[in-house]
Amino acid sequence: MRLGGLEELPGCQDSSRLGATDVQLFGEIFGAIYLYLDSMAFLFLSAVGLIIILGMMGITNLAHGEFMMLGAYTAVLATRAGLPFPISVVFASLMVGLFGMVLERLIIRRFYGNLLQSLVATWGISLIISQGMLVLMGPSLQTIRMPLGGITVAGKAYAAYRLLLAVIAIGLLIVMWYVFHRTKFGMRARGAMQNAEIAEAMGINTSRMYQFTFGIGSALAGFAGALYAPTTVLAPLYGASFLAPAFVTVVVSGGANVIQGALITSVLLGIIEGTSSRLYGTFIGRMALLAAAMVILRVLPTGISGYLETRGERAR
Amino acid sequence: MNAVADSHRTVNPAANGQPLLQLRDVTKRFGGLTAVNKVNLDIHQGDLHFLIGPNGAGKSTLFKTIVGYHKPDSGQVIYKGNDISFVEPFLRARMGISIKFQTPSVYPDLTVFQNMVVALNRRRTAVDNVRQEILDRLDAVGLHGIENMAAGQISHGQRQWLEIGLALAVDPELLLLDEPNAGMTPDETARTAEIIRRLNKDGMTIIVIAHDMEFVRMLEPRITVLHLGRVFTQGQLCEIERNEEVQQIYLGKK
Amino acid sequence: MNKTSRFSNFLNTVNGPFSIGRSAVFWVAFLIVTGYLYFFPRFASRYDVINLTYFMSWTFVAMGLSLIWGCGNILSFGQMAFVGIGGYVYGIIAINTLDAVGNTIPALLGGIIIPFLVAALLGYFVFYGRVSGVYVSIMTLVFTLVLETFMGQTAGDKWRVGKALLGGYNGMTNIPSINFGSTGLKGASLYYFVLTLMVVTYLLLRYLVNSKYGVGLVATGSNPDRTEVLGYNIRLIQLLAFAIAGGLAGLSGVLYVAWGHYITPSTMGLTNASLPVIWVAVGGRKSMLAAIISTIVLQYFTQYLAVTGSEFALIILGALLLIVVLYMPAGVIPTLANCIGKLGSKRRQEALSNSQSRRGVGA
Repeated sequence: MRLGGLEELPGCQDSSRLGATDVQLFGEIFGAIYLYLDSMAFLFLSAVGLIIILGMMGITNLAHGEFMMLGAYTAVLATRAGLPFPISVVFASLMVGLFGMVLERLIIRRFYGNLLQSLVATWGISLIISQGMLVLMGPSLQTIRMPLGGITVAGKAYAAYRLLLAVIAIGLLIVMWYVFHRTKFGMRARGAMQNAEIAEAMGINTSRMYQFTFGIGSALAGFAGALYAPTTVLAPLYGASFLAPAFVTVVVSGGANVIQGALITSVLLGIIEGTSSRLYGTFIGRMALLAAAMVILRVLPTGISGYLETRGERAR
Repeated sequence: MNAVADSHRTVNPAANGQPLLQLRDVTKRFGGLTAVNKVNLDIHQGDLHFLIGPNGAGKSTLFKTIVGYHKPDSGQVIYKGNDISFVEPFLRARMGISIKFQTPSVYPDLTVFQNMVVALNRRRTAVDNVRQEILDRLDAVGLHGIENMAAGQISHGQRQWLEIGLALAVDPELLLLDEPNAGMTPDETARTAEIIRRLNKDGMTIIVIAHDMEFVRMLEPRITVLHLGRVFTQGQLCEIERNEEVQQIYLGKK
Repeated sequence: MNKTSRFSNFLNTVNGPFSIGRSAVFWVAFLIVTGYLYFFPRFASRYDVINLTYFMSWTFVAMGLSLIWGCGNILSFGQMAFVGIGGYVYGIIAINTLDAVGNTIPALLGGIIIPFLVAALLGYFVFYGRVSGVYVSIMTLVFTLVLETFMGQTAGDKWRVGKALLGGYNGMTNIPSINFGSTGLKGASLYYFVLTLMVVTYLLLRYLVNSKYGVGLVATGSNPDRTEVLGYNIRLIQLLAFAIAGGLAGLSGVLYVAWGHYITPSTMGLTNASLPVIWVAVGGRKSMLAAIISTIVLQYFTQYLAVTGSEFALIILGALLLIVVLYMPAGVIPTLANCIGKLGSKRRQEALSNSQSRRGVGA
């Protein structure tokens, strides 16, 4: 999985023309912004489903990568069957969301008291799904072409689709903020997050809420998987390349404050990852991500959102 | 109980009249809330001292600061003349500070006997008959005949006593009991009071957090009243009982 | 000290309040099975011997995971990372030093010590950073995934250590067998080596779990806060266990490459990372013996499925994991043992009441 598809247009590599420095500078800046936006969007979209589930239910879904894979496969198959790509993406998200809700009802909800066992259970589920997909559909699936083609800025070509993904990520963040802070559902959800018992006493059906939340988290995973499907090879272990960045983002963000945590973490880690991969290459970028996570966790063991929460008004 | 040689223990300060524990202007904040506000407290060896106050007064936070889970934002925790404000909890335990938590904290999947094995495990000196010693210690906290039950299966009151037994097994010099009678029947409360009285008579320094004035009255200790993180007043039981303001901050509670 | 008391002293060190299986029956059965295993090459085919060697090589990573997860309640999804490190380090050292030194002892030691140290370092960040519970597991998973990615990028000539090419996704090949100065261990000789290592490691680990350290580890796993205020240095305890498990995983890695003579980054990948967790969870994480048995049985089962052309091996393993976690969380072997025990005592009770009624005793 490559991040930051900076591609050079053949034959336009000379930047030594007179009067080209301004354009060159703009190109550099644009290139950098593109790279960072791409990294941040990638991290945010991969992780947001996980963070919501973790923040609301304290559960870590190790089958997250498989949910992304299911979203990608569904979207691609739907597009091949004739649906326009955007509709396929929405369709895939809904399907994966429904699947998640069924899974929650049947299996996940038995592990609410025991977080380590829930890890093991979702791990088993992930194995079943990925290996099952291998048996069903074979080792790879041909993907669809990236929509929207390329745009050229200062002699370098960029994938417009990736910029669109960044826009979608920002849009998603705004929608989430709105739902969480401005709707009744969001307030009930936040209430259940703070204290499930009191929420239950106030008439909020927490088990329905948990099921719905897991569904939303799964749908977002499917959404991200579907969105990134045109950018890479599709295989049953498609989700694996998202897993490490997504988990790092989730762990660093923590579960205490979903929106702020996800936002700040994506920006921060996106800058770190983007800079390292720009300077040294993709896999150094990954290592830098891991190293940064270790350091941040050492300093802020409850994650960034945990730190933000204790800095705000909090009685103990 | 035999005193256990432990390299972290220092000389007995009672020899020079120093308090065992001194809290000097200890302050602990969480975000915008000051849970413990410039608390001063002296505990001398052999004292039996109660910390009372309404919910949220900062009593448990203060205990956690003494034990080391919280480090004070300002002020000092001084134990046997040494500033231990930033010492890790496990080192403080080795120095002789032992705590019983508010919610009983034992090893639920181990038997009562095994729980005591864990508590006694760190000892340097070997003892001839560990099994008998464990049974004696369990007896001393009112637990008979249940040593083979899983600690998660015994009653709430028994779990409280087991935890006191664990806290005592490290032969502490300062014992902190956070609501030792929480959730207990009046009978069990009386037995707990008896255990504490006996321990104190044998020379153990004990600080107790309590909510329930009936329990406090069983022991007639010296009392510090905390309110909103501050020391509201201190004194003997009879003085505190007569204090109208104390009654007010409890809002009619006994 | 006469013979019986020395023996009972030994028994006391490996039998303790925290071991499962310590009756005389257990030890007799243990001796019988061990004896059988030692005689195995005499009557089994060469193929079976080589196979069993391979299966036994994986018991070390399982024992390590049983130590940290069963005793210390630390679920690590990243043990295969240390297997990989052990394998690669052994390969690097052996390829470079075998000619000079004449044996693979430095490689063997390096393949255990380096993973031990790496695990200690990772453990430092995790435990002293007060990372808790679920996050520990996730970080270990991330660690192995990142390591796989890293090793996958090591193709090409500039990625070499001395004479050893790291090999990128194709991995390192031509790794020499374990060699103590004459010929490399293979076939029956490798079998005996691995078997002996396995038995000795098992006994040593039992000793560890029943020692003062072991009690501290079990306590830390059961209730870290309570253990901390009893004076235990819980972070150091966890760090040590994690490091030991890393070293054991490294040993599995060493034996794996000494057996197959190659290693690839996929050893540390997502699918393989699940295997130790499955072996230990299905077998029963609190019992080291259950971990050993489960590893060998499940490996045999997986291989049988692969040989008969079934692609369902991993699906079945995943399903097995799910079923165990849902219905037999203590693991298959302890649950079975419990059932047998209950059946046994029920039969004894029935027999007792039968004989009572025959004698006319009781109502």
